[in-house]
Amino acid sequence: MLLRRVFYSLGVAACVFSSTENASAQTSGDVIFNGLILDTCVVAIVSTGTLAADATYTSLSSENAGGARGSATVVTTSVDFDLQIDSPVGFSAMPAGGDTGVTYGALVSATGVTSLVDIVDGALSALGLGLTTLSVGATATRGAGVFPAGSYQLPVTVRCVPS
Amino acid sequence: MKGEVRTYSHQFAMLLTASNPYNTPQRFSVALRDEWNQPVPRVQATVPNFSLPPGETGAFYVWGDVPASKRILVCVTSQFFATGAGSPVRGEVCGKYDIVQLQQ
Repeated sequence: MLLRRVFYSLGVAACVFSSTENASAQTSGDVIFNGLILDTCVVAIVSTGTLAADATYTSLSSENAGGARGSATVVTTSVDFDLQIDSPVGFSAMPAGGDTGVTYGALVSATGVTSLVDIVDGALSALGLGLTTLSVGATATRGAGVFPAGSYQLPVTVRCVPS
Repeated sequence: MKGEVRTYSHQFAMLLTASNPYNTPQRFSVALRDEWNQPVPRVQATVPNFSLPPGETGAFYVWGDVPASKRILVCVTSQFFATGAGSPVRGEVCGKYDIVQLQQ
């Protein structure tokens, strides 16, 4: 998030009224405030997810028991934005051989002004106007063999793009 | 965050701003893509990587030759949060801009 362009402009018009006929008459004037909010999308990451292995050690996922999704918030000032989750390109940290024959996936659910349930990576979903809370899941699946012991890190990108 | 840039030459430039919504300093990178998510040749950002203090806004130029695709996405990406094990998430916000070359 973060390409945000919010400009406020303040214009003040002062009006003075006078009357020689009735000096005690009430006078009033409007002070005008002008404001402009451009269409804006703000993505803020709240927490990192946790990957957990399944019983067969062929799946590392936030959806497995012991795993947890990451979370993020998105604030939009127009309905002219889409949400997209990139398919993970691979582990950014792993033990030797940890990425052999592995396929990756990501999914997202949304609450707030946007309602989404387990949308898979690559799909575009329209964002509502205002605050959306995202839960972001990631999965790595091994085609053959098991994940070797070690520490794994699987990055996922959440994108806000004009529709 | 949509816009149209009009130019009489074969080049263009535009000034964009990005803000840090976090309460900690953050590092950001700028990516330029066409509408098919492919890199745009001969178009660049003056600062492809930059850091911003909490809540601050920074500006950068995007300039170069008018791309064949006519439309570019300018995406600002935050660094991944957290190191170590797990599934770090990063945010990316894109603007969509049409580059129009006018005839003199």
